[in-house]
Amino acid sequence: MNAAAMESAHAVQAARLQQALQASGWAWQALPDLEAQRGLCWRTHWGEGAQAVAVQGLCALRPAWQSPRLCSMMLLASLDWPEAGRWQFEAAWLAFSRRLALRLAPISLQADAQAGILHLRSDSLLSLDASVDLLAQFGFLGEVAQQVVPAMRRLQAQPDASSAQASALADAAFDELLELQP
Amino acid sequence: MSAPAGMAEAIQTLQAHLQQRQLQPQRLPAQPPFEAAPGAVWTLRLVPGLEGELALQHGVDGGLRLGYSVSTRVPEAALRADELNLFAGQAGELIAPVQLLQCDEELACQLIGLAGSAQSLCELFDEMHLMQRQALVIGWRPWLALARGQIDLEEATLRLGAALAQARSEQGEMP
Repeated sequence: MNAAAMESAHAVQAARLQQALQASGWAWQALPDLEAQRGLCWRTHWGEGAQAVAVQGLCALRPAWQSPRLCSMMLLASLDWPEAGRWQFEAAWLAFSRRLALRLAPISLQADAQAGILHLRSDSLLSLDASVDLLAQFGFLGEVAQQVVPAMRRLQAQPDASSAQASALADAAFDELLELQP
Repeated sequence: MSAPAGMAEAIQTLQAHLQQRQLQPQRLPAQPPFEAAPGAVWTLRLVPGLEGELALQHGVDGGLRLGYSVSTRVPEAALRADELNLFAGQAGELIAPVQLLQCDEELACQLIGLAGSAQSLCELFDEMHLMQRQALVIGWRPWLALARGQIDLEEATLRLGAALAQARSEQGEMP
């Protein structure tokens, strides 16, 4: 690897994330390089005891179009959600997920129908010198999930919920999340 | 974690950069809930005839957080919220890290960037400006036409695909 590549933002941020993962003690691995993309994925648990949920984390870093000193970052937290297939295109779910995306931007919710998985995804652009604690950001996705998943269950319990009711549930979940912030 | 990047220097540097690029920046008075927090908000010319809004604040990690958005009100949008949500979800995958967001009659196209210093902030802005302009053509215009009832969801999706293919061929490579 030459000096210019060593200084590219996606390489630097990926190296920082790798160091943090090594310190975390979680099981992790580097993803294969794909069109200059650097990626790492890991497994951990959110919650305690019987309430613990297995979560897969993934961070993909890609060079920006114009400058190697910038990169786009996708941070993904994925957890099992077997109902994803049934809900993916429901108007109430779409209203719920887009409302939360509006309140939580740049975090959004996505349903993977085939795999039965819920993704919490955060997209942003980073400079090389941006001091971003990616694992702390991943932890925040966990806090979001712990508010959002109960709200999703409430939504699922109302099969005739309107888009407006679904948006109100998303607002309530967001407001509860804000109250928990220090 | 580094010490918080200097906000006063960042505002001054970015303001000068926006002027140098002749984007007609207008600094706005801070609005709630940001009036007590250090930062700045500008409007600027995204493309001729369309303004974007740029908001600079501290990020949670102590760096600089730059939000770049374009928004408009479409009274008919509430009638098509379900289709708009579906399109926004699909388009969001393709134009990430830019996102399409809707709040009742207001439609927005938003991008968040994080920088560690005033110097890298300008470079970050230049990339965000390019990304917003790309997203405008690829996702925003078909979304707006859908919201106004000028086209249906199928046509909007076709336009999204065509604009994406065009952008890829023009760029040569596109993340």
